[in-house]
Amino acid sequence: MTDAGKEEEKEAEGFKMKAELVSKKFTTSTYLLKGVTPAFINSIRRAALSLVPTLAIEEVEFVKNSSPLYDEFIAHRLGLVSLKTDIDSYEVPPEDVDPREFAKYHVAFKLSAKGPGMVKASGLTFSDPKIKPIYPETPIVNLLEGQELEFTGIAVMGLGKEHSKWSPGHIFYKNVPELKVKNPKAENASSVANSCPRGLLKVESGKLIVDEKKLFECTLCGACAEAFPDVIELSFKEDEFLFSIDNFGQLKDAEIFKKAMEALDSKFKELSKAV
Amino acid sequence: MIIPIRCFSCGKPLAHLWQDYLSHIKAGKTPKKAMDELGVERYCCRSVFLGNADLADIIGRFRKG
Repeated sequence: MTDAGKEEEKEAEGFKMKAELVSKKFTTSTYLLKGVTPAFINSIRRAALSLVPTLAIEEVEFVKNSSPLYDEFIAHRLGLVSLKTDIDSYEVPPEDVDPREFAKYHVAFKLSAKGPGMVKASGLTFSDPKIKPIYPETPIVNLLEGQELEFTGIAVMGLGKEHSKWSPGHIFYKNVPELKVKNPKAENASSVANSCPRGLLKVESGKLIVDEKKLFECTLCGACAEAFPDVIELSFKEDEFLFSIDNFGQLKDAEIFKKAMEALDSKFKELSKAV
Repeated sequence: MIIPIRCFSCGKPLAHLWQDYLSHIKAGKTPKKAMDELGVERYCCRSVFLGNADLADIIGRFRKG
């Protein structure tokens, strides 16, 4: 069978994709994706960044502001506060529709505070009790004695392609390394082990071995293989990736994945209709 | 001025960690250790913490222009 024929047969079997959670550190979760291509997961990454809808504060109207910061400065800070988004009850308003017209496009909020004291994101009261700031401790502005702040406004559903405040997270991926020790009994074992900036290689009872627990920390920098090409062989797997989501909190990881794929899907459907 | 709500470069929300960061520093930890413990990993976010000078309360005593 020709190479092209084999390739076709492979495609006919369909992708055999697998995903598993590898690690969760603070807000970042890393998944091991198997049986995918860089083009495929990059399209998911791009869709997640720019096409997944979330809520963010969009308009603020000030009644009183004698705080140290200007109105626009506070409005900008409020816009960046990430809000827990109820993805099923809200949707992104079409371009020619005022989001104030329908409840499904926006949620109203208000705040009034008197100094002295720090105004925090927890002080915002939304008209929908399900919507609240993810980090209530976020400082907005510190009011001194006699200073006052009062405003109302709306938060609107939007997409990351318009402003990054609507992005649900930061997404990145890297190849899964394949690190082989060709000659574990090399005389210079300890200097080979020291060549790795991440400490992936170690010497145990005179033998140079790869610390498998740390393998995913490899950045494929190539320092080891470059300095000792006769001892180390470094490559990466073609169809496996470590896919990380640094979640800003508006949505769950699974919701980001799902919404990104739905967005891609509707784009493909639109295209196939147009062709 | 005042700690930015999010990282300038990557958009990660950071402002809620500022008070924790200050209390870590007060307890004698190095900025590196404090940021590692708070999960501020990328150097874009770390620069936001290292570069911030909290002057809002001093400026707040004067009238806005």
